Amino acid sequence: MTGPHRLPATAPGGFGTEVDRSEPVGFRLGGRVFGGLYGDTLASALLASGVRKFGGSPLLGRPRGLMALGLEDQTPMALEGDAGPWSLVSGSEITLREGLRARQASSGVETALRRFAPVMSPDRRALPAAQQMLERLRRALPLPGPRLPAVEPPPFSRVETCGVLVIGAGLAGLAAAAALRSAGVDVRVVEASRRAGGLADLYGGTVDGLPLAGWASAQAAGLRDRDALKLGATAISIEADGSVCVMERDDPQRPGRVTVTLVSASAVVLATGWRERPLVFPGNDRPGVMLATTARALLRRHAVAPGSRVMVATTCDEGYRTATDLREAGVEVGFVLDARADPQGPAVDMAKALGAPVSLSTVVTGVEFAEGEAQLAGVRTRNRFGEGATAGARILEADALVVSGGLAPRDELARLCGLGSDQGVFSASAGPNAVEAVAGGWAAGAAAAARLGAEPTGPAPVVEASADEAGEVAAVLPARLDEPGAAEAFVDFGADVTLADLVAAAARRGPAPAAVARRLGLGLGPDGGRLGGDVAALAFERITGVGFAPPSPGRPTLATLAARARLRDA
Amino acid sequence: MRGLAIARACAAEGASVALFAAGEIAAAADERAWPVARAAHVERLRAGSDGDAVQRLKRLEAGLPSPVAIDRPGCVTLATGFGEVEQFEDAARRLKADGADAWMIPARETAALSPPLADWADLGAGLYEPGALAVDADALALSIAQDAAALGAHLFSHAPVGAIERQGSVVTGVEVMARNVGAGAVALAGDLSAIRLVREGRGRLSLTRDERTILVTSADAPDIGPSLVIDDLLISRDRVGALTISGPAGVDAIARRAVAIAPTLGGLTLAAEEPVTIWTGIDGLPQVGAAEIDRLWLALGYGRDGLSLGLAAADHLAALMSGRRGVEALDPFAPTRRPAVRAQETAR
Repeated sequence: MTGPHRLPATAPGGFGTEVDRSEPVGFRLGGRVFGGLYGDTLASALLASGVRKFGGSPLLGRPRGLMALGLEDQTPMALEGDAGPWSLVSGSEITLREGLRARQASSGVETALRRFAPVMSPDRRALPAAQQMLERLRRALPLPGPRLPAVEPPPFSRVETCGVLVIGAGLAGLAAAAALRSAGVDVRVVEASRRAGGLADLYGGTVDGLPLAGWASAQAAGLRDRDALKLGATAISIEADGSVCVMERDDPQRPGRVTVTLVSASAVVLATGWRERPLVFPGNDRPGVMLATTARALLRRHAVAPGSRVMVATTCDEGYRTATDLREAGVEVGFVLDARADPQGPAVDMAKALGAPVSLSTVVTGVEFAEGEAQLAGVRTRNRFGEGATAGARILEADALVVSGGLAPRDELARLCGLGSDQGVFSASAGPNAVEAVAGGWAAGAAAAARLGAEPTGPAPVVEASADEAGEVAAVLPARLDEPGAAEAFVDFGADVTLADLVAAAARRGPAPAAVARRLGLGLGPDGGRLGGDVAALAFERITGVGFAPPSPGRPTLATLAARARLRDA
Repeated sequence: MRGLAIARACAAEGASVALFAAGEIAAAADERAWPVARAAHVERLRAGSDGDAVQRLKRLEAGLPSPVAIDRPGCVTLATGFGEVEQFEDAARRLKADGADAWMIPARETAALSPPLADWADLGAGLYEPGALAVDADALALSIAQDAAALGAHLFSHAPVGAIERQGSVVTGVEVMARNVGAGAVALAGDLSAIRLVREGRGRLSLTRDERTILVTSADAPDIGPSLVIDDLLISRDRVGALTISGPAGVDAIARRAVAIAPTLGGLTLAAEEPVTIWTGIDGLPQVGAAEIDRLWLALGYGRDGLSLGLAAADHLAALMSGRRGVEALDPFAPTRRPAVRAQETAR
């Protein structure tokens, strides 16, 4: 074992598929020495070692831990010696190697000043009063000038062309690429994560007789052989002419410059997948609170448990899938707290069969958190309808809380570009399960091929997998948005925006989503608003009847925008 | 903000006021693109109309119900060629004679005021106005709206005006969401909708449009000192620490120019981008005052410095509607000015 939360070697074989227990690896984070296993990511090794706090929130300085993987992670890290906004990536994207040195995102002097000086203005995003005072003094007195940031080296830039560009290498993207290859079309796939296959390894089922993850690996390998798959390449925008701007690091495991690629394709397939929603309750940002798919990924890939006694709060079947995994891995599951009254389906049945205690119509109303140890101590719950044996508030002992508010489409690129199939942009997001992902991907790939006058010569893949049963849909938001604790119930984790902030902003400004977003800085945190996904929009819509713009797919720097301008002129 | 300021000023005169906004009650994009109140314009008439913009804004802010973040970073308008230096020097002399607190500064002083520009090879002399204000435009709009409401004005968001109601040559009200709203006077403060409404009512209204883009950076921007006017690029920094840069063409071209001017800005991330249309009268001046149609008033074509003119124009219109003499410096902006130019425009 390489830490208190690493599953023992006696755990079933399905856990820790990506780590080699015989190969320990040493690394440093901020000067502290840790150990992990070959195949670990920085995040999984830290969690296995018992590290819960991965960073602090930008405005409030609250401790934050790993809640989601990849682009949705709100606690980015960087390799020592690396600089610039694109050096900050999720710890789940940094593969461990011997001697690796990494650092947490710097909170900076400004954040420190914020913590020590109470915010005097109603706009807590304003610069700290001390900094404002210093800037005013500099205008009037001959003081030394401000320290300017280092000049960012101009990024590499290039233009590429291809027949069809597929954005996303999950099951849907790989299915689209398979259809396009079958039609003989020149296809390229870009994937923001450094691993292909998306969440395929977290679900049971087969494609053409192969396990989902095996099929995805085979497809990815086929693309990689043709140099048609780029990992760690984030598509940040689709221009009006259909060209796609992609940001990447040539060697993601070493500090280096960013490359801006403008990909011009005859058609684009958007296979950006689905993201899991967090639940909204007081303290939902505390270290130890983790999304269900994240917990499952850590278990299956790296044999890391989210805690020693885990509660699962869910509004859908994802929570049951993770509870099942936890039970099979030998981790104690205190309760599955389901907001629904009568959930049905194979995932629910499996969890029950494995002995996971279930409490229905139950919602989380807060967490007990030990500030000194930055550790979860318990979960407060109550019956959603205020009835039955669980009507009263309960505190359940737990050191981790796995949450799931269902899956929402990761559709910001499509919404922001506003292009559709008439302009050559095809969506592969048919549904949040393996059957619909592969079918939707294949259909989108075939439609893109048809635009180029081709069609797949082979049959569509045959998928066998179970899907969630349609039924009761429980809300991810509390029944009352102004209830006590709303000031600690986060809807945009990266930007430190709570439910109370939204309610207050809506009361002051009315149905003015653009002004409210500007005021609160929604989407301006390190996660670009992606962790909260559509939760802030859902809350604001419930308050005012008007929703928000989607989160950012990724933010370029001015230097990369300048590089893109030069590419266009070339 | 300009419509809200007019509503507030009219309500303060004791009028019964209803404001219909096509979108949100918030600062317009052109006001957010350059949230600066300044007096030192190179253009003579604007220097006259905006001469007390700073004092006017301070007076207003002191009486508003909720606080508005107002900073006093000053403003430098950089000359980008020898001809401009001479032009600016003339303007500085004129401004000084008029009592304005503005003067020319050499490149070295600009670099000292704004360290990120220090390495720019083309940095030249500039017209410096130390008293120029940078405002949180959204907060100002909200606070003016609250004050207007407290004075009895009724504000309606997401309520676009469909048509101007007329009886003969006299305006009698507006049609809003298929309802007729009678009014003794109608003031149009939205440029694009005003053009449509006036033309659909068979009136004449011509404005020129300038398509620009607003780029807002992340909140970790270095202190740029005063707000900057560099040719057609406008740069200001807000209290959050984010830069607002607006200019012609797209966001990429603006970023390219900004990085060329100040390479240390290259690491800032793009927080938001937004297209904005800036309208001005066809002679380059605003149109503020009574239109040719009876009981119709215009407050249009403020140009890039909309925030500087907004309050004076509101007081001017409110006074005129009450039958009093308005702000004298705004007389040249009467919509009925220079009929020959407008006739040419109609013919074209």
